[in-house]
Amino acid sequence: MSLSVEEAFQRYQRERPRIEEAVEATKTHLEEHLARRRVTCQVTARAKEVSSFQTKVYRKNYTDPWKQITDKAGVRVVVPHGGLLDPALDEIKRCLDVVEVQDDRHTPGHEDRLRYPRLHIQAIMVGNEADPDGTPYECEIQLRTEAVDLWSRMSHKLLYKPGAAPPADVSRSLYRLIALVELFDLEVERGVEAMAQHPELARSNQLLDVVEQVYRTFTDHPFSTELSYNVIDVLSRTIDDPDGYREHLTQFAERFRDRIERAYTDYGPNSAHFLRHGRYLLASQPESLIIFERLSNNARYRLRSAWDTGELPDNMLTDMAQVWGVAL
Amino acid sequence: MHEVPQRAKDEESLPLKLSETVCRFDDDVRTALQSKLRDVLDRLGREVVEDPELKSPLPDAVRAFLSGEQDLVQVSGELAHALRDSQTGKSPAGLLLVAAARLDGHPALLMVKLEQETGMQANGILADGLRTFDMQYFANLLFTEKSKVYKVALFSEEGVTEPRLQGWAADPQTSGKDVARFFLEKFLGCRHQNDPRELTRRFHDTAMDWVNTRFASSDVRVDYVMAVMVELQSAAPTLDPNAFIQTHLQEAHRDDFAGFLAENDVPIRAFDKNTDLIGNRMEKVRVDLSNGAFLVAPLEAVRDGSVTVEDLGDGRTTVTVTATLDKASSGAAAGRRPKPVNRAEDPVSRAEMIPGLEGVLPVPAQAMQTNMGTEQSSA
Repeated sequence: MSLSVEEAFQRYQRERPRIEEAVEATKTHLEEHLARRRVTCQVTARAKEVSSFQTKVYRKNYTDPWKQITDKAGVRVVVPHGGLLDPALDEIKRCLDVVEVQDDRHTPGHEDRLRYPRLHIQAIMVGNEADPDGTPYECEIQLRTEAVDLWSRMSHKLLYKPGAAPPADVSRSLYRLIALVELFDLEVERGVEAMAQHPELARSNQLLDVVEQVYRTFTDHPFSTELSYNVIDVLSRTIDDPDGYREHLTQFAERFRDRIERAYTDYGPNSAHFLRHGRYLLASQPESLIIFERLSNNARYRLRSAWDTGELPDNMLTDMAQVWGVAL
Repeated sequence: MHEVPQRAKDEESLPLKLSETVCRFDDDVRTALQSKLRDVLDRLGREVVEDPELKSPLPDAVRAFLSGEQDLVQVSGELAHALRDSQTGKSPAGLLLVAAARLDGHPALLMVKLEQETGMQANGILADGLRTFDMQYFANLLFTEKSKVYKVALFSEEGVTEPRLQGWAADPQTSGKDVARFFLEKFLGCRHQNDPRELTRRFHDTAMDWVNTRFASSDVRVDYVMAVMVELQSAAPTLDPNAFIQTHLQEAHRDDFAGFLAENDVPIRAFDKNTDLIGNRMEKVRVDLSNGAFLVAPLEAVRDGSVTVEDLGDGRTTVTVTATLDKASSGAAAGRRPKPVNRAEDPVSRAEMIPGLEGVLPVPAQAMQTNMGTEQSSA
């Protein structure tokens, strides 16, 4: 039996905390699985605001709002380029019970049209939560590239007004932009493929990507990407198994989380050493994690040798070794 | 922190002017001290243990602090007196820093004897509107970047639970080769925990084990066995595994050897060398081959090239001996493997040995009558 608008609204207010909990659990679940599949991405999640639920009910004129609003819980997975969309989609299908996939990227017969390349997945959330009717809670997963995400957010926030069609010239602008987004994504994907032909370059990129993700679990302070590339070029020579290193570094960071946090507090981006004296520079950089890991896991001679060969300033390394309590 | 003046020769010492409360410092100082001392203790720290015969008041003072019977100011005053009384007339004036610390989550007491250093500072200024530097001279600097003029000791709560107090001491002034005697014995009332004879033997045996279980190449095995023997035979009074690794081992093997030493409880820091337990294995090298042939050669013969070992690259090894044949005779007992001296177990695990070249080992003196199983052989 369908609920009235008022009943649906009341129920949503009661149920929202459970939906929020379930969507957060689903987000974590997706992050773990996508990371294991080595899909670089950013995952965000939200339970629809109560006010948005109410607004949507009235705007769309639903007859069974409780069932027809399918995005009570929403997850957004944003990947850096189009080449990662299919691996991400495969992994989502593998790790969740998928109800429906809407994939408008290559709809036959629509080659002459420019439009938002919708890739939405309706899936049952983890945790076995169900609504009072016993229907499992679902979420809508939007899977996009960064460029599409930018276009989509901009078009919604700045150009698109709910309930009113944009003026013709604004619509034209939106479609023109979609063409650029498509070109941008293709060029980025082509660049990534070309980089893969140069393993030495791709390796440093991959390593920085890995270490940045782990570093972000400690601090969101900005760092110098240029310095990171210089240092990671050297550090990558000390790592034999770059494919397995993500898992290895993640485990290391968890095992030594307290100690690493103390190190960043004492010597990191907000410390007096860094702010006033400019010392312990690498403690404000993600690559410090690799140095700590290498020092802890029986690779210090290799690290020392690679550092000497790489002609980086000696005190950058010795400072980190002192922070970690390992003499070089 | 307390000032500890130089001890006046043949004169009664003046009373110490002790600090009356804990010194003040900000986070910069705390974290700079922390990183410097972590480095020096990891690089040069040597395990020490209380020796009641030395009759130093320090062990009891450390126990009193770590058990909460004394506070930091009280115990530091006692330690300042103990340091002053233990110094010789040659010991320069300095400062004693005593700090409450934590080691692996356990409360600990840290003490550092410091000497003040000189240095200069240059600050960019504008003089009469012109850019220049203002330079100043300081004679009271501590812990400068490359400073070695300090000695450190650290005692953790864990070390107090032992019947005799245990801790660590480091002395950068002696480049870690040893800890100044007045500091270790008179002040700390301690001695080095590890018996140098036992430690030297462990280093030797572990190195031999590593060489013969890690490498298939006979060239590498012979090179490394020779390196160990040369190191042990050198006149240096200490053995520094870290320096040995960097001097003698190929880059790709260094971390593995360091890890192997750690697994076998051999420190990577320098320790006193004493070859009493292995001295009779330092004169000759023995090479065992898979066909039963073996060779015992003086170390010098390998060094001067009259005995060479060549890896053929297919699992076989050629041992070449170039010398005048003095004697050939039967020798059934000659093939018996030399029995290690003063050891319960064979130093090399035969089960894990790499086939081909069976092993390269120093030889005990009693096995030296038998010199060679085969003049030249391939296995």
